[in-house]
Formats: sequence, C-alpha cells, structure tokens
Amino acid sequence: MVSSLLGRAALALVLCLVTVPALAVDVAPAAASESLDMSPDMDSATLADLPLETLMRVAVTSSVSQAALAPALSEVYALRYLAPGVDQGGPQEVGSTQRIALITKQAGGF
Amino acid sequence: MAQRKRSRTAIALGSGLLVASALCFAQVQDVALKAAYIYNFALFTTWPQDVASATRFDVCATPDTPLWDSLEKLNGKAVEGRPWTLVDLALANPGQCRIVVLSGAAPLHATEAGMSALVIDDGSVLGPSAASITLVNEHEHIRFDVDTRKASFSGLTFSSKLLRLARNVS
Repeated sequence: MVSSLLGRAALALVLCLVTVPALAVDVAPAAASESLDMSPDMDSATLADLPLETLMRVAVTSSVSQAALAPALSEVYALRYLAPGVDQGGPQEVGSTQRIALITKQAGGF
Repeated sequence: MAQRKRSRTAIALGSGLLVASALCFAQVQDVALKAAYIYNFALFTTWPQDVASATRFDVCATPDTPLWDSLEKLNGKAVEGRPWTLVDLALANPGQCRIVVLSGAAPLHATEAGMSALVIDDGSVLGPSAASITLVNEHEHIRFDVDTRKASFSGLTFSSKLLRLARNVS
C-alpha cells in the first residue's frame, strides 16, 4: 500500500518535473531539450555569446538581498502609515523596543 | 519485505530525478544575464548608417547602476564591427550613445546623450520612461517588452526574431 502511494508520488513528481519546464519555455520550444551547464559565477561576457533563446531559459538569482530589504520596508510602512509621527520625534516618540513591538504587532494587518 | 524494498526504490528514484531536474535549471546573477540580453539586443537592432562611420559602439549608463560591472565586461565585443565601449552617461556628449541603459532615477538623463539611441530600462525605473525595451524579472527569468514606436522615433528597427521572443510588443 505504502509502496503504491510512493510509486504514484514519484510518478507525479517525474511528470511535474518533465512537463513544467517544457511549458515554461514555450517561447523557444526547439531549445527546450538543450541542457545547460552554467555556473552561478558565469560572467556577462560569456553569457553574451549565447543565443537569446538560451538566455531566456536561464534562471536568475537576485544581486540584491531581499532579506535585507524586507525589514526596512516593513518599518517604513509601519512608521508612515500605521503610526504617523513616531519617526518624526516629538511627543509620540517611543523607544526602539516599543517600535519593534509595534511593527511586529501590526505587521499582519497589511 | 518486498514492499519496503519497493518503497526505497521509489524514494531513491524520486530523489534522483529531483536532483537531476535541479541541475538542469542553471542560475546566474541577474545583472550578468541582463547585460548579456542588452548585448543581444544590440545585435538584433538595425542601426542608422552613421554607426558604420564611428570608431566605437558607445553604451551609456550611470556608474551607480548594479549593471555597470557586467556591462563593462562586454567592452571590446563587436557590434556592427565596432568595439562595445561603456561610457558614463553623465560624461557623454549629445548623440554619442548608441545604447542608453536606464536604471533607478536615471531616466531624465537619457534625453540628450541618448538622442537616436536604443534606450533600455533595466527593470528598476519607476514610472514611465523613454525606454524602447524594458527588462522584466518574471518567475526568476528575464523577459522583455518592446515598444517599437519609441524605437522608431530614434530611427531604429528590430529584427523579427527579437520581436517574436519579446513578452509584449507595442
């Protein structure tokens, strides 16, 4: 029973892995069967020699850390829209611990 | 016993295929890939006659763009028989640039040095820009939109192959 389920799961995985990439490159079906042998460190000069169809199949990693951007963005939203005045000093100023608590508490609301 | 053996085989098969599939998906830095795209765009563009009389193929960008280093690595590669040369957009003369790469807050600078240039938005420009080609990050892949009207204002036309590969053509 377990073996049968695992077998079906493996078959589904195989079908998924084969069909999804094939559909994803519908703009260049002829190139879909080509295999790519690329290093993440491959530079632009090397990549530039490849055909455009091949470049379109290459997945990218962002050069900007999204993890580094996310907290800053959350803080901006929290301060500007949820607690106006907190970042401008004055009577509503709160300590950093309270600001973090405020952001954490209200972050789920947007 | 036999069932357990089959389970192990199925798991091993699934895992093997998963690893094999992952290896098929190459990943590179987006800046390097975007620079390679831009070089390819240059090859698929029909340039005005005066390009042939120039000694260099000047590509202009601002040094603070994330693409700068990747664009610089293309220096010397041939476009229309002329060497690709990266130039600081702020130091370029009017009409000098063949390609202008817009990034972030650069769009206002594109008008003078980029007259009759192929203007490309690297995907980070906010709001409307003068770009004929806009690079787009989509599902971890780079795609591009082409605005043929803006290109025609600069006297440029694109090959049918480039238009066929574009995500959107307007």
